Amino acid sequence: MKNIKWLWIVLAAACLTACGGDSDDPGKQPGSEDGTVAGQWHMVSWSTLTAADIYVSFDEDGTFELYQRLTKPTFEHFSGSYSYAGGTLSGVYSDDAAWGNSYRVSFQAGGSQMTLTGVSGTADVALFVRTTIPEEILSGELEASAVPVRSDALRFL
Amino acid sequence: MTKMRTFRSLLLAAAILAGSCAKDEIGPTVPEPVDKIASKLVFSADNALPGELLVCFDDEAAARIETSVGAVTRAGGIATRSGIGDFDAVLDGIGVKSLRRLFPVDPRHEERTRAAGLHRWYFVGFDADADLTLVARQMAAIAEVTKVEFNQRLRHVACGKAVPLTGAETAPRTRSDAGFDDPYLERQWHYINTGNQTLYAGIRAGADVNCAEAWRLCTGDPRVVVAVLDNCVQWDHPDLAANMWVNSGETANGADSDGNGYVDDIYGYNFVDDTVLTLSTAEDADHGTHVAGTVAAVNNNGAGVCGIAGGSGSGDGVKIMSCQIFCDDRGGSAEQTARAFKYAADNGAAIAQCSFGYEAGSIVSDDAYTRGVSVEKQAIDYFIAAQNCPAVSGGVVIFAAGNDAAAMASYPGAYRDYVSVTSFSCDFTPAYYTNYGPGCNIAAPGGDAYQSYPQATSQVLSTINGGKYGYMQGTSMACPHVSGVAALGISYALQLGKTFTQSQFVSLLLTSVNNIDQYCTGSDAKYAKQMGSGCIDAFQLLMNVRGITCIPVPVGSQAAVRVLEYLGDGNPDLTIAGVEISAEDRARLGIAAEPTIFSNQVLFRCTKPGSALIRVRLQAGTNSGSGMNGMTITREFALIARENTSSNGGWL
Repeated sequence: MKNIKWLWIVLAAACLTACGGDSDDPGKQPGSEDGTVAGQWHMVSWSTLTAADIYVSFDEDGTFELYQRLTKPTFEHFSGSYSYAGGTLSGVYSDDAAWGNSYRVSFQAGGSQMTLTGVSGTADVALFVRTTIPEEILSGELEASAVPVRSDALRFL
Repeated sequence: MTKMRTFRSLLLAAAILAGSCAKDEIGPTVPEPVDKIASKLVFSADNALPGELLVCFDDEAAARIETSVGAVTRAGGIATRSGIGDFDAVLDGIGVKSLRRLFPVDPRHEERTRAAGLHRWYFVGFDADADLTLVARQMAAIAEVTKVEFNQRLRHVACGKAVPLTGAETAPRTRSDAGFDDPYLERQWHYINTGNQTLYAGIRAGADVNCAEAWRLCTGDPRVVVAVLDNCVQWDHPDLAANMWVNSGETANGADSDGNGYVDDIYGYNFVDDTVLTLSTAEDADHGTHVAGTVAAVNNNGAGVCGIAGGSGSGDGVKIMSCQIFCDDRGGSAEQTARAFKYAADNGAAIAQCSFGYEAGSIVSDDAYTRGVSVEKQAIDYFIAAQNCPAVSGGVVIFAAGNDAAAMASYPGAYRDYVSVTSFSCDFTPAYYTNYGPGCNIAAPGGDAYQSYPQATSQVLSTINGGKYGYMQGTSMACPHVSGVAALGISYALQLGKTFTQSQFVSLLLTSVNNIDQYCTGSDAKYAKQMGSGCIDAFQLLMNVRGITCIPVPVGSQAAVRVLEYLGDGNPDLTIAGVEISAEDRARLGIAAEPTIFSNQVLFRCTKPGSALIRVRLQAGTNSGSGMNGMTITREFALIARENTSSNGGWL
């Protein structure tokens, strides 16, 4: 009886070990290596685009910070929360706007590269590399200033 | 017909007689027809210097003259014979004083000088009483002569003399928000305008070139040299000396130590008197030093003022090269100007800062300016073609629009390929003196003396001669703001390892702007859409240097892209002149038909997701309808066609 009890414990431990590893993650993408979404990333390509400045930081607490220089010459800063389950990344911005897509995640180069593939639609494939986001971007130095606006005051002469 | 034959015979006889005293001369030739003579003349005797003409010869004659003139000048003499019989016959009759190659030989750059045809230009000095037009026509009648240019005189675009900053106005030494400890920075509203009403009650915050944000990223780079074509810059001014370009190959010993054709050109050269730099003493003597200070007065040195690209106080400002084309009431000729441009190109300048020009209205079309292609234009184009900095493929030439309060820019700046700068005041309104309209490309702070009168604080504060500081106003002062911002942009490109073609960089410069039309109302309504693309913004330029801007477009429905919303502050004065997406990129996004332009929008339909490049041709500045044009520039954007996007514009 004692032996059977120990057998159950060993089997349960083995099962937990097997389920806890990324290698058997049911959502893991084909060809994906081990890796974690948490950390700071720089998008190096999307389709033929290689020049956009997009940085994102996924924090362990389920929040993210997105810094992008995309439609303006200056950087914009977004934040919000994300979830990563079953190999799929999804999230919402702090202004309650939903992400445009959810993304299947795969890792390459020992987890130093991450490919996000849009779940909906086609050709939405972005390659990110793990990086340290430059301080000048984190500090907001590269964000737009308030554009000078016209005062309502009128000059008499 | 008989008369013509007789005339030609007489000319031939005269030429033979006159030419007989020179050995190895080319014999007389048949004079050119009258219409051909006229076509060889560049400009007219109006506004031309007496006793001087600039003559361009054909290749064969140029080679011959080079031998004959070179033999005399190398021996230390002054040449008065060309070796061309007909030409020497003319020289004999006009009291010739000198004949010299316009651009001295600089062996380092002789090959490209010849490729540009600049070696064929000669300066002829003669009796000032001679009839200039007649002499020009006599020279143009000679077959070996391809052009005869009247030596026109350009002028400063100053607007009053400098108002010295008095001791009583001295500000306490404080560290500014920018982190610099230059005590007068607080008075330089044109760099950082906080709306300080002690300078002028109507001042408006933000009416500046946005140095506060730009200086966080870049303050200059000593590898960038800005040639100041102006009065002599006071090279030993305490707030300029550390940022003066120094010709390391030259020694002040009365000889041309580096062999570039100029003697003792340590910080630049005096092209007016053909000698070392000479400080002016007349009314506008401070002009060059003031302009230089705006570009690169030394920053963070605990003294005086700041310069836009003056560095951080660690010897890292851009460098100023003084190309003196004015001295008291002398100078400013096309010949001196042309030599200055070529010197700047051959000695390392990447930007030419040019606060001078012809009177507005004296030339009123690009055709008139380019007719015959003057030596001055050839030299400017030589400068533009010369790469002196790895970040940009050629030189950037920036002119003041002029202070005639005229509805057109003055030439040469008005020409479609050169940048022309208008002036606004410390409240964003166009300055009362500024030229505006056709030929103008961009606006910058130039001050307005009337606003704060009798105080001068609404003008531009910079360095002046005597190691002092003073206020001046004018498009002359607006111009170096754009030159300084351009120098900052090139410095940042060097810092990031980015490279641009000359035209790409100028396009970035002219699209890094904030809207000015909102301030052109009431009595200023005439300036709306006439001040160029907008008010220059240094921070925007640096960010544009950093990388491309993307335009999101839908997949499966028509895109109506308002391109201008992606430029400057989203409301620049630019007109879309054309658009191009390569066939490969069109196929990538499934764009079947050529994009079209409608109501300043670009229309096309993407059927596949992906990204592609779109090149948009824009016009910065207005056309006159009679030959004056805005500058055509091209900006490149990345189109992003995604099927699923967030409503707030975030990438994820």
